[in-house]
Amino acid sequence: MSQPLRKRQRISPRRIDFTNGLFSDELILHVLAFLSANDLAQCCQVNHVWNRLANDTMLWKPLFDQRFHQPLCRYQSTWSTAFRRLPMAPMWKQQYRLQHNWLAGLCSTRSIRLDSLPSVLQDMNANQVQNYIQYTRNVICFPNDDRTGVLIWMVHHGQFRLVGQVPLSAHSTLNAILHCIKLAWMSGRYWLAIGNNLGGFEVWTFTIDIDKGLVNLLPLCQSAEMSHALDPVIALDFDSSMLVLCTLSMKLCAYSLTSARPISSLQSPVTRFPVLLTLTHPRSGRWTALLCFGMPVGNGSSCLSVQEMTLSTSSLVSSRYCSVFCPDQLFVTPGTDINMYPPTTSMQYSKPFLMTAHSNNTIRQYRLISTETTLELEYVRTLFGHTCRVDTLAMDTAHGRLVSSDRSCLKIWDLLSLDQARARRGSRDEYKLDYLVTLLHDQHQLDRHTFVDWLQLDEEQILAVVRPQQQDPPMLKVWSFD
Amino acid sequence: MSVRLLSSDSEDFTVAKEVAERSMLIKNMLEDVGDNDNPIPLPNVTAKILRKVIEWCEHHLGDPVTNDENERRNTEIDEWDQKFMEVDQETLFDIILAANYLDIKPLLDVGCKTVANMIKGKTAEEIRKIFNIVNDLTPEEEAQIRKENEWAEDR
Repeated sequence: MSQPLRKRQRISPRRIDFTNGLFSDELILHVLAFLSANDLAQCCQVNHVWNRLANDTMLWKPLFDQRFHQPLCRYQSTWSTAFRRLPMAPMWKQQYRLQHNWLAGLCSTRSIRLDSLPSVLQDMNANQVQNYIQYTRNVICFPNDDRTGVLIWMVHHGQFRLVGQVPLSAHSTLNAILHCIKLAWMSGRYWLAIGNNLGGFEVWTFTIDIDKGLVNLLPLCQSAEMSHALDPVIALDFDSSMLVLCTLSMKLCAYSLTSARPISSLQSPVTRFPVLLTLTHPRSGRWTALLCFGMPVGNGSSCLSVQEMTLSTSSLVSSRYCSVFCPDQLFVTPGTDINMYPPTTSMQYSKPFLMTAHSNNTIRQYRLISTETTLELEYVRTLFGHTCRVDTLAMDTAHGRLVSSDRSCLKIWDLLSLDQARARRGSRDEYKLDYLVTLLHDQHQLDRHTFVDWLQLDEEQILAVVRPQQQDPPMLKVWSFD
Repeated sequence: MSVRLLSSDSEDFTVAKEVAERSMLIKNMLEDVGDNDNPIPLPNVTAKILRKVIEWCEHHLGDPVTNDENERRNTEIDEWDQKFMEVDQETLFDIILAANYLDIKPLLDVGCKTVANMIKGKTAEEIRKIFNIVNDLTPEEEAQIRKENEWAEDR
């Protein structure tokens, strides 16, 4: 287009500001509607009129839709995305900027040292730490020093503030210490479930007031029976009426929160690692608990399995099991204790996908097919890109975003556009690299190893507990994309 | 069947009815008044511009109509239209205003795309130069706006 433009300028040097009274706002917007986000960003800087019009939210909606709202994901129909839940008239430019920053890896980082974080994390692997620290809706919580309570921190405008502590009741009565926590947001308040080292649990609810801190702290439920033998809870999940937990001895129990009585209990003879437990409430009167776990099968190979329990408020309705063999062999020198290097390091489940991280630098995506007649794990694909052991995974289901960490970097995967990138391959593709961003832990010292003990993300940021060196005290690091 | 159109500077044009009906404004007027010989006055369009508009409508008489918003947005201007739009800025803007007034959507799109193409890939300063726009932002405002839009810069 530069050629005709030059010609036109030769025809008439007269230049007219069509935005100064000649065109209506509507007509100017009609012109601007044919521009890209980059061009509109320049238009904003022309003058006051252009700034007002180029920021018009209706110009940004189609740009947002075109770039982010039309994923060609094969499973789009089964995997609901947040875009369907967006408010009616959001700030489309801000939304565009946020999504763009994620895809482009544009973020600001800061590290915060939180008191009492160091001592809890000693001698723990990443999978355990994942159940020790929880982050939901601007609240981050983790056990106190002697594991007799949970410290509640509020994240507000980038500041971290300790707002209170939830005590472990079982400590005063049974001398129990906590071993696993889960924080959720339901019906306008926070729900905190604490699993202890005696195989028992308790559930608390609270709300947060910006000025007063932790308020309305109420004990909701405590497991009625507890063995006095050590059998720590290693995973748990719950909703407002049901709780499921899994203990180190591989006992899988379900409880009704109204009666605090066990509904069912299953015992497995084999050790499983890692373990992931999720509870869903697919229809009235029915709950589904999924226990996903890795299981070494010798020679450095492993199995990935899913145990599905269907529950009612009074009984176990059915229990099914499926398994898939992971053929990857781990390269370890003979004599190495294989249990120190589990082939599967971390996993995340979000219906219908199960993502697993592995010691051989890969991430695998599986799809769990659960129908009336079948329960099956289907291998979907392997994500390559890490150059060392993948330690931790975190997922933001709403946006189809996966974050993974190894000792040198974090990687952001856009699960929804992975298919998109594949479909566009070979064609003219503006956003070819959209699906993968690498954030180095330390840009200046690439050979330095950073240990990521815990990873979580929400719509605007990634949070992680990192240790710049193995012996260093852990820090909370935040990557903010807003 | 033909229709008579009267420009703002009182020039009388006789065009085929289907050409004139590319304009939704004229089409609706014809439906309202029915068949009669009186010229339709177009007080907002000069003879010079009306001649251009009629030329465009005659060339695009058989064009299919698209309702696909994406297709409409993303289709490039064809060669004939590019040549047609090689006019000075005053004429270009008058054609856009006429297309808007006469409600000829495809012509309005071509005109607006032509202007958009003049903006594409340009910096704010270049845009000001092209259209002789006065910068009424203070240096502080300018710095603030630049900072707000930094994220969109090509890297």
